[in-house]
Amino acid sequence: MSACGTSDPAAERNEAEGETRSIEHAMGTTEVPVAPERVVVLDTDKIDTALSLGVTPIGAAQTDETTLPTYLGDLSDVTVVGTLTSPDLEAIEGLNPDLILGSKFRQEEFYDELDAIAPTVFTENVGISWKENFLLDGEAMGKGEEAQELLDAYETRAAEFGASLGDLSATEVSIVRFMPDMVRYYGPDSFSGIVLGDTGLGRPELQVMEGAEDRRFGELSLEEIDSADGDVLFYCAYGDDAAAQMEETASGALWESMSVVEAGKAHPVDDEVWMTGIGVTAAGMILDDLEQYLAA
Amino acid sequence: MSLDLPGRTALRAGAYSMTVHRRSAAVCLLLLAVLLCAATVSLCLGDTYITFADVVATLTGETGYDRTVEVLRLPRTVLAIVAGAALALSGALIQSVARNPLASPDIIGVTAGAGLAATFALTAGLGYAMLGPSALTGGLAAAAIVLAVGSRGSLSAPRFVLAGIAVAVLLKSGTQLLLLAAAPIDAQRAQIWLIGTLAGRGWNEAAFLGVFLALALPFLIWAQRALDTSDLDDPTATGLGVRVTGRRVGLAVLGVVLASVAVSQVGAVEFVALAAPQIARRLARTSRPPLLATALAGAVLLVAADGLGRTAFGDYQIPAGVLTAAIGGLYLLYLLMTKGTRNEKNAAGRRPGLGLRARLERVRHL
Repeated sequence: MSACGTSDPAAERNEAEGETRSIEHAMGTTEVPVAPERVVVLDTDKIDTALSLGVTPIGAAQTDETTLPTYLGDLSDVTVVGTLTSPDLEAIEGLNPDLILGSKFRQEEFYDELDAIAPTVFTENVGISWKENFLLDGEAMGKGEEAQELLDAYETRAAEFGASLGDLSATEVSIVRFMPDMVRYYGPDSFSGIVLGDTGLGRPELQVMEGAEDRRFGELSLEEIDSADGDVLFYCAYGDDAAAQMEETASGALWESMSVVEAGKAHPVDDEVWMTGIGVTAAGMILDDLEQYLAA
Repeated sequence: MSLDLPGRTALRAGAYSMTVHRRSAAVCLLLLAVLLCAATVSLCLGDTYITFADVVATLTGETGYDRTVEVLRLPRTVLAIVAGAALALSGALIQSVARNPLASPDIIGVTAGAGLAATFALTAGLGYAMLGPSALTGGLAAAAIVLAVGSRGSLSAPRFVLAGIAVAVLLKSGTQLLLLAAAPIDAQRAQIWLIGTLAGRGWNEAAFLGVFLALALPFLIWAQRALDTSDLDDPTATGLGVRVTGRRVGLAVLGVVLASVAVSQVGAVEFVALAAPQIARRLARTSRPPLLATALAGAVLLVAADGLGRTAFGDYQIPAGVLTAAIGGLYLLYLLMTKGTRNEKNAAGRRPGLGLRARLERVRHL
């Protein structure tokens, strides 16, 4: 049988499809088409990346709790291909892609099958290294230079916004996210934490996570929800169950006892942008939110 | 000397002879046919429907469906067959040794040991490559503890089962602790593993299990013969000069090794090991699970569960482990409610007619 895993799908493809480039990534080196046209993305950050670079993916995996993001405009042409942790291989195969983007972090066990379907490039992680991932995914789509330009433009904008705040840059910004079975605060290594860091804004002491090994997020119990206090608070919810929990908590006495709530500086924001976005477009929209709520 | 064994036909070739249980043989043929049907359907169905003729054409030559059939569907289906067979065989062996239809690797700690080790591997970031070996080690270690505790003195059936259940409970609580402490994404992957899935698995796992089953074949043939004597109650067997404990330990070791190996490749797929031997036993109307029919029943169960999980729920891919429980459970209930009573009535009616002398003769000739 020709497909018993002994044949090299990459080598076969080279003969069939002409010009390729080598991309080094988390699973090795892969030959990808010079200008991929049918891209399938298996994580939310890569949807943002593709659309930021003007590529509409033909297929995308969605999270377990939500549908495809809405902040990126009309995605009705994008076929859903299962969920992040269990992508639907046959649906992907049926789309006949010429490039698949995913991460070792979430889809390692599917790599062999995916790579047999189309050249597959994996980033190591999701989130913490979002800027490197953006550049790698951009490179894989043949848009390395555009990706670098967009990232530079974002970083310049973040720094300029921070500088424009003057004294306000000492403002401590708290981030809270309601999950289906817990509440989290977000630290400096989370996506939104990194964006705040790029502006130079301050964070509440708890959320700096000094000395912690994993500085992405920590857990808050509902009984100590008031420890999420800060000068400004942004909060959001992942999925419908969590949204109901958020609704309930935000009308409770403990929540209302926080000084930031009393001052009217607690703002609900879009979870898709602040949490699962993880790309330059989402990062730009976080800056929009910050400008709207802080610059006053 | 010629002895007429009830329900059996003797096959002779020169100096060698063996007896075949006629109904078991018929059940094997039936199950083989069902397995072929299930495997074919699972190759045809999916996001794209491929006709039977096209599947055959793809397997023998080149069509537009090579990738779908040979990369995505065939490896998974073959894996389902070998993994289902291995799990079912392990269940038959352990149930026979424990003389308890509830004693399967899921209950007596093997799966729990593999689950704890796999959860550790996933949450400690050991990487996907270490997942199989970790699970294998965990399953074997748990089995070793169970056997060591259970076989102090002689391997008495209740002692073995109780030791297994105690170890399983301990290990499961360890798994829960790890899951609670883990990052959500790791915990989620571990959960999927603990349910058991064939998604993302293929030739590598199937080849590993296939080679292992081939190596285990001589032992399995020995086991089918040994089971016939291990099924007697202790005093009778000992009185006949059978080394009960040695055989039983041998059978139990074979069972737990099979279970550990299978679980290490497809995750903690439950219920195949429990249900398949009972389904086979009831179909064949034998007093203990016939091994070949058991293996085929297990293969059918896992192929059907994986095929359904892949195709029946739209955008969602349901892990095979969820459905093995559903399908196996329903079918076992059906058997218990319809065939079970009649079978037991027959067996009860026949036994007084078979005198002690005849039973001893039977034993000597098996």
